[in-house]
Amino acid sequence: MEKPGGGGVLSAKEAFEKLEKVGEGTYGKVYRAREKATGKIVALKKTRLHEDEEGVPPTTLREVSILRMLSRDPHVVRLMDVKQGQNKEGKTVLYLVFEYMDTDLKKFIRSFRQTGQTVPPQTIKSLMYQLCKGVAFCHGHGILHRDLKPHNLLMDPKTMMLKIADLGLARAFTVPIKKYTHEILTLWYRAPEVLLGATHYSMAVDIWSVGCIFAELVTKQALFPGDSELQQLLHIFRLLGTPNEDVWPGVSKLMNWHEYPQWNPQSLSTAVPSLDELGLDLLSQMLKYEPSKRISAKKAMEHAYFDDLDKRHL
Amino acid sequence: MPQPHSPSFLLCQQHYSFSFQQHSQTLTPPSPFTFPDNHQHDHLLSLLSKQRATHSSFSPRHDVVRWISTVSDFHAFAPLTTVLAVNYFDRFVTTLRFQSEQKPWMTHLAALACVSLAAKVEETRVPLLFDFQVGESKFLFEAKTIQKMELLVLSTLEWKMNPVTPISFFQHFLARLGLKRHLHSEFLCRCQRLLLSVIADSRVMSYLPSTLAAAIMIHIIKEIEPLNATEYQNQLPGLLKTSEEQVNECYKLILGLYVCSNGIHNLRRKRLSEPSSSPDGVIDASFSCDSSNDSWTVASPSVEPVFKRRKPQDQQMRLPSVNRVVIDVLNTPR
Repeated sequence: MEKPGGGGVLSAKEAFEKLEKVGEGTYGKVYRAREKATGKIVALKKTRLHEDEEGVPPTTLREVSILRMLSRDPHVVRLMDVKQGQNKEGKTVLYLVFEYMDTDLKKFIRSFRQTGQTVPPQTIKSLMYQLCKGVAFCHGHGILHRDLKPHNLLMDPKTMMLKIADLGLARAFTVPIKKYTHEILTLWYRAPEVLLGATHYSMAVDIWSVGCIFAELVTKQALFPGDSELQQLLHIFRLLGTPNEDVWPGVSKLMNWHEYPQWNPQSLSTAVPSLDELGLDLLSQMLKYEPSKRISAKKAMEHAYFDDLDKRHL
Repeated sequence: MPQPHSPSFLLCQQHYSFSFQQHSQTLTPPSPFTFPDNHQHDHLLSLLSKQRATHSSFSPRHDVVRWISTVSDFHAFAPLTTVLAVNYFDRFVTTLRFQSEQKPWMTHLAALACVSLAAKVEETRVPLLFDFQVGESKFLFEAKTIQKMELLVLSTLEWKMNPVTPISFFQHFLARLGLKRHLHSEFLCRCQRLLLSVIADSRVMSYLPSTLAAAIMIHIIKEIEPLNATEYQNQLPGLLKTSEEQVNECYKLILGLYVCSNGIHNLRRKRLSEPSSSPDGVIDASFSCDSSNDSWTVASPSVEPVFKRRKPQDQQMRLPSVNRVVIDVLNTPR
């Protein structure tokens, strides 16, 4: 990666030609752009800095600094440069220059849903292995992603290569895990400990998200599509049973714990009927209530579900 | 988890080696050593290999570190936030080497930007930029000025804001030493406090983070578990792949500092009600200037209201310090 921030001699406007807007985030827009010097297609993530406000946004700061650590992994999106420029009003703007990926897992799943096709089992296996590998790499470097969801998993549909992106909510964690904000993670992929108000959480929050994504790849539907924190919990409890101190010691002491309706656990095969036995076993280990009992990303890669996968190019 | 000396432990053990720089030697741990889980092992390998890239030592900067500690105490920041801020500052000034005697305000502005960035990286609640300006500082900076310095610090440090610090190693070593579980949090707490108390001394910071962590842990182990101290002490250099000599040298230095002054924090966090010692916000050290920082100029006091977005009671608290110079930075290098 070129030294970020220096950005060479050319400003972002001189160096890139914007082709189209492809998204919008909290702090600015994302464009597909062409690097004028090489003709290479890149993604430009524009971040506005309001001079009268609070400097560089923490999300941008964390995303860039974390990608400086992680960008060499093939399953984490590559940050190529950070360029500083000014907009029409003379305000400072940062452009994060990323490698461009054609699609994301959300669009990929939607395309199968629209055509009524199922995602081939070996494709699911390959994508899941790559996801576990990317998450294991993040965790091995002391990074929690905290916002894993299909939309944040970029893909090249030709090569079926998957890359973790959007580390705006990611953070380096200390051991032991200290108190973090519990208002993280998109609702559908949010771990029960976060929903119940835990502020001391760990890598297991990412593994829960991976489990939800796994099920969604198989069924083409979100596993727990709640529209509020309470509804989200109830979705989880209906399938996995209402937790108690036996299955999850300490659950009743969490900040948002109340007396919830009592449901018995269902077999995961009722929710994900087309998943084979090994897949169901892996999924069940990813969706364990007690965070410390949830499988790690590294252990997940070693699970028998992946035994018949050709891992040479992954 | 395999037990020490069980066949499975020994089988695992033969593959268990650290790759640190050119070294790759198998670790044969003494008996209290417990085998770490894979994740922690990977993380430790990662820390050991990265620590040189984000480590810097720098001549006297005692006042700046005192001021950073004052800010951290005032806002009840985590120890890691303080350590990160000092790391950023050290790396920044050693890279830029600006002349602090000619431009003391610039040193203070750099320190301010470093604390702000550290808080954004580590804290869940970040104060307003204005609220970082606590203590008896001679200077008061506008938000846009601090933002410009933040960007300069970030580009100078190449946005590498998650460096390896001694705190990164405390828990990893602790997990391997087999210290009694109920002592863990007390042990970590004391290690962090001792680190904060010696961080202002640039001699201490010239050691690699892992060496400093080991030396601090030896000191604390001798306080907490004096009977087993020697046994634990012998294990640490092996975990580090570092020379025992370096750890002992660092330990002696810490011991000297501890005995002399008990450090900035007196080995306990100052209560907010206590008056904080007021740093000048200026480094004593001289720098050779080979950069083009002459384009940073001091403007006349800005018209921005000093108490923008502050509660009335806070404004009253701060009134005595209004006579500080308000600085704006023009022509910031882009």
